[in-house]
Order: sequence, then structure tokens, then C-alpha cells
Amino acid sequence: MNRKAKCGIVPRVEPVRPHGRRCAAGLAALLWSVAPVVAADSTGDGGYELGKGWQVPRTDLYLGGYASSDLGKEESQPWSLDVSHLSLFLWWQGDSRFRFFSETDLENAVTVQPRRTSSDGAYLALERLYADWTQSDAVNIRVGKFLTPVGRWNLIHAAPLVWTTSRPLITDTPFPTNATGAMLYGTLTGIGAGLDYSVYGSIGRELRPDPHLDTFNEAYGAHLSYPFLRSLQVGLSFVNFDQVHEPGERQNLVGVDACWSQGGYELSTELGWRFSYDGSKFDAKGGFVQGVAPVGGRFYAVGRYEYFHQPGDEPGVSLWLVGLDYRWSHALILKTEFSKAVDNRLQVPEGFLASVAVLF
Amino acid sequence: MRLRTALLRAAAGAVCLWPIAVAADSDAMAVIVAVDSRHRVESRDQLAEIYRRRKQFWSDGQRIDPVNLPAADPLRRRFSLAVMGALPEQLEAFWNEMYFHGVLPPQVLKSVEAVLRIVATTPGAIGYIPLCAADKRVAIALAIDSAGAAVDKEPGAVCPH
Repeated sequence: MNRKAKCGIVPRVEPVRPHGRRCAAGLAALLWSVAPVVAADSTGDGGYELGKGWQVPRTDLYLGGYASSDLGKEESQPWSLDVSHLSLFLWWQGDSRFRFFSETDLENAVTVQPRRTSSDGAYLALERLYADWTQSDAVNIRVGKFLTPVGRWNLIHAAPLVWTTSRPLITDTPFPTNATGAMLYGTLTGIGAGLDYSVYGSIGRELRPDPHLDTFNEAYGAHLSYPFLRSLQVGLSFVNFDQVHEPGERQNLVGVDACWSQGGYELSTELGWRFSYDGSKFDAKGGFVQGVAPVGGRFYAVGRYEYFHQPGDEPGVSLWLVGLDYRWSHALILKTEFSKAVDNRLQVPEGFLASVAVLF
Repeated sequence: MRLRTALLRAAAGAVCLWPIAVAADSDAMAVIVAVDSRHRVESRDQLAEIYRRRKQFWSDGQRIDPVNLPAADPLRRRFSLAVMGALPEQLEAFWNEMYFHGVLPPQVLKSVEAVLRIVATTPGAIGYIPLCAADKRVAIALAIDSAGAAVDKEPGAVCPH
């Protein structure tokens, strides 16, 4: 989309030779006369709006991002206050079929605990860095580092977009959340209301791998998502992979996700099964069901049950969560939640969490 | 006598129905493209895909450039309900998700006249206006009523002022 012209910013004009002065003068006059009209037509006038990003003047470059801060009081732990995410999006979208997108995330920049403030856990993560080339709505090619298309949560995991501060285990524990490689994706608009698909492959060599994560050594996967009845989105995921820390231990992950939303109510679920080539004792499985309901004004009640069974003979962990959120605006949300685990051999954090998150 | 009665009944019926027909026409919305454009919209579903930015290219490869009216504009709200099945504020979560992937919502223009001007002069642009406001600067790609059903593309009423 040519937002440059619509925001009333005069497009760059190529240098002209002297004999083209009359033409250039005419063009300049035309641009001068058109630009204010176009600017007057637009409500934005090129200005900044929270949660809508900012276009660098006279370019097709956009800046945006999100920030979040968490206050936690886990059971048998002191309280802590984190600046958990300061994430910056930078993308370029011109009129051509080429597009570039990046997201860098400063994680845990500052942590405040009783009598201790530190930035020891700070890490600058490269969440996404890719180039897209578009042939049509149905055929897009992406190369670089992207979010692994498994389930729904991982693809929209930013704090202002999700209802809880904590994240269900099934959405990031059984697979690496990022992949570096190539992806073919698009929307098949000829199929009913439009089938979204992605097929991808990675041969490892993660771009700026997070040292805390066990990244893909090799992965091949696909994700399908289809909207039913306008208010229900259903997805299927599959990925065959092994990871850097266990090369050769091949695994298959199968997932189902669904999200229904209407009138402020939302019901969502993700279920996943990970099967290991090395035998069933290395399998993992889990899922969650989450409900959201408006309770007056901008307040929303949140409830979630999740279950996760890690590889081994130990029983799985069940985690119950209740929360109350205040959605100040589409770009700003305040969240509180309390969670309690049963059979918590995984030592999943449980207790009280609150956070504020803003999309900018 | 029978013929006269029938004619009187028909005339009375027409008088009674006329305000309804005018009201229906003034509620109708025209989805417009530039007058020299060959771009057309086949269905409401396709229109919804365009306005959700899930369909970004016309069949000839031209990038689609949808424009909107302000969220509080009554026409925008009728269009949003008819085409997307939700009011603008109910789509905020959807646009947050799209923004997270670097996809921005359609640009918002101030007025119907602004939509006419931009659509008439921007290749690939698409907008919506009251059907009665369509003029020779634009072509009507699709005409719909407030329920999203296709209606006759010919403007049949004068816009109320």
C-alpha cells in the first residue's frame, strides 16, 4: 500500500536533466497541489497512534513494538518486578512484492526484588528477521528467522495480545518457538472463507540462537488454519524435527488449536502431542482450555485449565488459573492472575502475577 | 370497473411501498473502484477478505489498497457489520494480531468525498460509499445492503442531505 502518498508526504523525485525542467516544474506543482489534498483526506495526517506503529517520514519503513512489565509473587519466593519485554518491530513495506520484517526483544532488562535490583537476566533476543516475497495471496516465500507455526499462541505471543501474563506450557515447551529457514505460506481464498497455510523447513543454524533454548537442528512442518462461521478459527499443526541438544532424536509434533470469539467472549484451546522415534517414554503431551468473559466496563474475567505431561514416568502437571484483566484500550492492558498447580513436579511457577503491557 | 379497481389498488400499493423502497436504496452501499479499473468484487466474503487484508492482490497482480471511513462513522459501522460481521471496536483484537505481523489496517479517510477522490485516483484502491453518492469518477464493483446482500448496482435514489 502506498501510504507515503496518502499521508501527504511528497514522494521522492528522481533527478531530472536540464531539458526536463519544465516537466519537473509541472510535476512539482502537481505534487504540491495534490499532497495537501491527500493529507486533508486522511484522518491520521501521518501522525502517530498507539498500537498502529509509526512510518518513518518519506520512507516505506515502519517502527512499532510492545513493552511489558510483570509483578510476581510466586509461592515460597519473594516478590519480583520485571521489565520483561521491550520489543521493537522494524519493517519495510513498499509497493513492490518484497517485504522485510524484524523483531528484537530486550528481555528482562531490569529485575527488582527485595533489597536487590539487577539486570543480570537481560538478553537481547532476535525474535524474527525475515524477508518475504509475494507472488500472490496464495504464494508467499519467507526466508530468515520466524516464529514456529505451531498452534496459535506462539504466533501471537506478544503480551498485549494475550489475556494472561503466564504462558501455557504446551505453547512453548515441546518445541522450539523460532525457526531459521524458509517458508511457503499464503491464503487460499478459493477455499470457502480462505484457508491459511504454511509449509516450512529449517536445517538449523539458527540466527542469533537464544542460549537458554534448545533450538531446531532440523525441522520440517506445516500449519493450516481455517475460519468457520466468522467467529471460530481452527488450526492444525505438524512438525518433524530434532534439536541441537539431542541431535538425531527425531520427533513428530501434532497439534490442534481453536479459538471462538464473539461479543467480548472468547474460548480457546490448544492440544499437542509429541512423539519420539526413541520410544513412548520420550513422548510429551498437553493442552489448555481458556475462557474469557466481559464482566462490566473494560474488565474481563479469565479462567484457564492446562495439563502437561513431560517425557518420563512421572504424572503430568495440572495448572488452574483465574484472572481479571482491564483492557484500557486496544493497545494497553492490565492483567492480574492467580494460578495453582497440582502434581507440580515440573516446578511450574504458581502464585500471583500482575502485568501491564502496551502495544506501541 | 375491475381494471379501474386494480389500477387504484396498484397505485395505492406503490404509494405505500415507495418510502420503503427509497429507504432501502439510501441504506445501500456501493463498493467502488476507479472508473477505468477492471477490478470487481465477486462476493461479500471476498470483500471481507480484502478488508481484513488477507486478500492483498487483485487478479491482475495489482496490490489492493482498501480505504475506510472513521470508526464512528455510521456508514463504516454498517459496512463493518454487513461485511465483517462485527463492529470496528470488535475487530481490535484481530488488528492487534495483524499488526504484530506487520500488517496495518486499511487507511482511514475523513469523508465519503475523500473516499471518492482517493479511490478515483489511486490504482488498486477500493472503498465504500452510499450507493446514492456514487458518481462518474468511480465504478461500482459491488452493491450491498445493510445485511450484506448484493443489490442492484444502479443508484436509484438521491442522497438525503
